[in-house]
Amino acid sequence: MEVINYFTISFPASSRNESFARVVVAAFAAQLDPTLEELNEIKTAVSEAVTNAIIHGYRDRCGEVVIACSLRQDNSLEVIVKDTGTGIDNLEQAREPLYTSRPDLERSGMGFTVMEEFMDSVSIQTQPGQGTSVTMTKRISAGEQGGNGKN
Amino acid sequence: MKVAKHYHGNILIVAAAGELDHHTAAALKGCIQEELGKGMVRHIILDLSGLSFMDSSGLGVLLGRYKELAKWQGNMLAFGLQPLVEKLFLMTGLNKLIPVYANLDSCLKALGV
Repeated sequence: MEVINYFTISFPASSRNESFARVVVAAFAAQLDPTLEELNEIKTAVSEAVTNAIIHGYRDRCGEVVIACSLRQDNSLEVIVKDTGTGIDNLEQAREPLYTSRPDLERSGMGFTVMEEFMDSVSIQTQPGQGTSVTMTKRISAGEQGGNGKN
Repeated sequence: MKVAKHYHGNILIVAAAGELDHHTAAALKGCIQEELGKGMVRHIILDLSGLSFMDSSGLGVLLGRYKELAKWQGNMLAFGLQPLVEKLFLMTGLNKLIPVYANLDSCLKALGV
């Protein structure tokens, strides 16, 4: 499907950038005329992926998070959140609801579940020691009723 | 994230406003823990009417406080959830542990006050 617009940003893996990251993606996605509900779902999914990169990918140490975002002809959004941190040893386990590798941090273990619930597709590429890349897509019901009218 | 607290008898009422994520979770945790440390909190009511954003990090911090409170059979209740926050509560089943009510009065009534 043809890409009609895109951007890439990178920023330090600091928790203060979680809010920045989700707002930037939501502002970009607004070009597809999503409903407020769809925008909130996108913000939440991005927040989950970025938080994972910071807490699990880099274990709260220095690193860089990259977000690559594109809008497609079919009114869909693709968001890729990438880190070059530790990677995930057991991906199947990590995707299980309520599983967390960091119970010490009071993690709910619901990050991937939330991403899967709020986006149409979530795919994860990971390599222990190399990093993790999460690709999420969502088709926006645009233009029809319920859009916020901005175009 | 803004956190305000007051008491109704031995019930702690915490109003969390703004965005609750991994970055801001510590502020909410700190506020509630401080009160729990005083040893006079029986139940907690969360006023989430001003909470415009929450993700699973927020769920984690609420679940953590719920567990603390459960140690002495205290209850945690919530009211004023905006649609996104309510969706997260329902999706994750958190509402089974932290029941959701329409307003403060119905929370107090549920606690028999």
